[in-house]
Amino acid sequence: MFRSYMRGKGRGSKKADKRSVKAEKHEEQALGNFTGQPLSVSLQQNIDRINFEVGGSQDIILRRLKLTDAGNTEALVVYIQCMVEEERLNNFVIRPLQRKRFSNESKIQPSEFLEVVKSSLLLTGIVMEINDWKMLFQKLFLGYSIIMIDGAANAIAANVIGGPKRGVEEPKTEMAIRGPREGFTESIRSNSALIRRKIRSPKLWLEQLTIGEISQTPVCMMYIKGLADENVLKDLRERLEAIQIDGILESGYIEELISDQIWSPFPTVMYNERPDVIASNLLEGRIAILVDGTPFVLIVPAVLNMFFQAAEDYYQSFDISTFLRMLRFVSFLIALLMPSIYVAIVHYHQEMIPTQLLLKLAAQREGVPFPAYLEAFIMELVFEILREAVVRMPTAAGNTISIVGGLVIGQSVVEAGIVSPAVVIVVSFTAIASFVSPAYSLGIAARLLRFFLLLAASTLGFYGIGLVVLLLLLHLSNLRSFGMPYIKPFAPLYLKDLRDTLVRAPLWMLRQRPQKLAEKNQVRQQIKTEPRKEPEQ
Amino acid sequence: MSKFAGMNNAQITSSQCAKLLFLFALGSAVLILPTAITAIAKQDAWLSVLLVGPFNYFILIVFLALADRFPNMSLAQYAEKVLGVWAGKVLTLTYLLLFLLLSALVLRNISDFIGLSVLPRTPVWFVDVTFMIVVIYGVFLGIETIARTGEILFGWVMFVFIIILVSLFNQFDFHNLEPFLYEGIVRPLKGIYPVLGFPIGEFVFITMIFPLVSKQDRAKLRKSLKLSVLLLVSTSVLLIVFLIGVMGAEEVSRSPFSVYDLAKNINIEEILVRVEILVAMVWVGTVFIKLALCVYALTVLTAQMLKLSTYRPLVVPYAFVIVPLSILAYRNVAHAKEFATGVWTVYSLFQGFVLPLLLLVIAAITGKRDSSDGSFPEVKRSDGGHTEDGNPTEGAADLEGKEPSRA
Repeated sequence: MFRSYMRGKGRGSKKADKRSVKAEKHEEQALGNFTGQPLSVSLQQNIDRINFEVGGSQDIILRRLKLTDAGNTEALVVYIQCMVEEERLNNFVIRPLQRKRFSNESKIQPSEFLEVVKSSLLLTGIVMEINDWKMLFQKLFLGYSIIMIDGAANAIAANVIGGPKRGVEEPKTEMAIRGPREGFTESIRSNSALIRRKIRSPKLWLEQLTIGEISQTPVCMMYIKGLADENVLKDLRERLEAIQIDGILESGYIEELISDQIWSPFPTVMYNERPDVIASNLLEGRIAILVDGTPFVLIVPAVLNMFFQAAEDYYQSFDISTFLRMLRFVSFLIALLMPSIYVAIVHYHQEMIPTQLLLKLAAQREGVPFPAYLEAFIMELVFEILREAVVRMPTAAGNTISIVGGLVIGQSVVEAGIVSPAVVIVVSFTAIASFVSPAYSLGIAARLLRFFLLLAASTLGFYGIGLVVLLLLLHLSNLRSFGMPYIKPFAPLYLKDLRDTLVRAPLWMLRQRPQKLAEKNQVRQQIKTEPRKEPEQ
Repeated sequence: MSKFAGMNNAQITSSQCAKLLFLFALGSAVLILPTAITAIAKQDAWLSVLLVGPFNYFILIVFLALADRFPNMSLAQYAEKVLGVWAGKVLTLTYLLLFLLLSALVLRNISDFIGLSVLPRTPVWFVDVTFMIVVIYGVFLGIETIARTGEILFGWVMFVFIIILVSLFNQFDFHNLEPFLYEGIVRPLKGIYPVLGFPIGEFVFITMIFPLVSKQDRAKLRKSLKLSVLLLVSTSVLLIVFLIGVMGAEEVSRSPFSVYDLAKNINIEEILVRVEILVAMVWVGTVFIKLALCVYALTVLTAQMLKLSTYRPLVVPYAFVIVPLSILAYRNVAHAKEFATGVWTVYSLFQGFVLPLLLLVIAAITGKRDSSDGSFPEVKRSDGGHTEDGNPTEGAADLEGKEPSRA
């Protein structure tokens, strides 16, 4: 759909440059370039221009008003239906303009009208002057209302943004038993407010930019000044500014366009729906990227370790958190390796299984027409298909799928002797394990890699698994997220950081922020808050 | 690579360097060597390993002294400084042969092992080629990546090592270690001989790594290396003690891959049995690091000798030489053992100890010191990703010394 995007400098091969030049030309025709084109003094000309540019779209409302008694000075209010809050528009923009009629004697020049309207009539919080068409359209389509006065060279934009909006709800992707229940919404402003409500500091800075040649999507960087690494910030700014794409519809676009490495199943940018998670990452010196129109906020730099951490880890006691983290890590390994280990054992290393179990397995496999690797492969594929079907099904049909999938395929396939029960057990256990990871994006990596590992295990047994794992290890070691080695606290080894990796040390031990992130402000806790000791008797 | 990957300036920490040394030393030696030592020193083999311990560090002193004189240069570069350009190149050429042969032998070790113990019916060349693909990928990604992988593998090796030792406690028989020094000190002393050549003489690879250790970390280098050697000696002694304690000296000296056979003895309540594949996986990891370092040394030496701007194009061609060479190198495992424990010591000690010592002596006599050349120019590094925009000719003199830039 959106083929025309190209990173400006980053991956610029000559071919790519050519394509991006072509794309720009194409867009110039379609979009028109309004930069620096001044508004006309004549109101009628402006109206004609707007009508021409939007093709007379009916949802764009042009409301004419008379400013003076005699009616020789006209004003125009432009807004888009349902992108503004009509009540506010009526009360705070149109009503003041209507009520205060300028008498003919007052001899106010049209340009002065503008000033009077701006400074003493409009009742909205944000009012700004606009002097070219680019700005006008930008504000108009953000949901501002534009006020134009006949004879004035400039226009006014008044913030009456409104329109359909989802309320703050519980996040769907990362549930927590304990912890705040609010999740981000699609509105960038309310998202940034949700973060601000967690970190009430003037040092929480926000930088806004607009990305998307046609979609003109607002994108924000939020960070804590003094904690976020200036180099990373600079790098991120460069990467964001290099994006030239027609539209940004979800933060996934940004994620893909700013990632260090695209050719990797592992995510080097993290996303989350929970304000508390974003706030905690900001406090560690990371940077959040908010994109309008999506509840998913990006975090950079992201290291592998972060994908095993859930928000709840910090809200419940450290011992259970440590246990759960290890569980998650083990589950990830299971999701990645279990089918291939099963295949390797059955095909190449039967001696590893205790004899009793081996006999059971052999009895099950009796009469099964396929070799184990094919069985595993088929069942994995079936499972992936089921999973994909359920994700996008209407909820009502979802149940049918789970019955068909669970009962018919799971049970009948075994009873018919097409696959052995052991494979079904392995595949379903793998499936469950793959849902344990709190970060969905990491689970996807395991899903994909599982098939490669299956292939390796079926050709070379454990040796093949070892080789693929080595390849993965090399790949992970090579990955970086904004200059940060992807497997950072483990390699390069930072002993202090290990307290918040596979284990979650008590908070009074986590006195420092992760190393190399907020180097100027390493200390997180100043006061010693070690557990109080009972006074000795 | 995008320009944003340009932050990658090939620098490793001293602890990474030490871990690489540890893994290299375990490398292919840990599985093969105990057999050879035990064949010579019988139940006192652990004493040989203990006695050889200091040599692990002595040999490093030579390299460290050279690194002090030429902190930012590798062997190929300071050889030219010390001996003159052409003599230096000839010396480098001998090292090329050493590393080429070593790479082939290490690859042969792994394919012998996999072929004999894990996948008896898989063709040797297939094992060779698949392993080499991983190595090519690793060397291509560069030393930083190998070093980080090494750190993870180090953790995995120690983990498995401890698991195996703990689970073998129930099989350990102290009487297997008796009689102590039955035939005097001579046997354990003789047992030193294969160790001197097999991993120790090969430590010369580290001269390629030293210039990459980051400046701030240089001070800690000696300490880290000492710790590494200490850990190395204690693990190998423990391993041999357990080998002899569990299997008995006779059996150890007969088994081709004794540590693998050791792990076969693990039996905890008939549930945890036959976990030797864990050892095989550890070994795949350590051999990978050893081979990757050898190929890295080989390609970087070549690139520096020929004054190329990067070593990466050399990796695949060398791989095409190494794989056939590894198949041709030995006739069989017995031949391999004979060669590794007999001939190899002389050759590798000559290359790994005598020649560097000679270099050091000549450098000391002529008072050659050079720290300017071969430094890592930061400018080069930051735009290492897109040399087509930068002007690579600028400071080309500096280029030859540093780790060739990413291309």
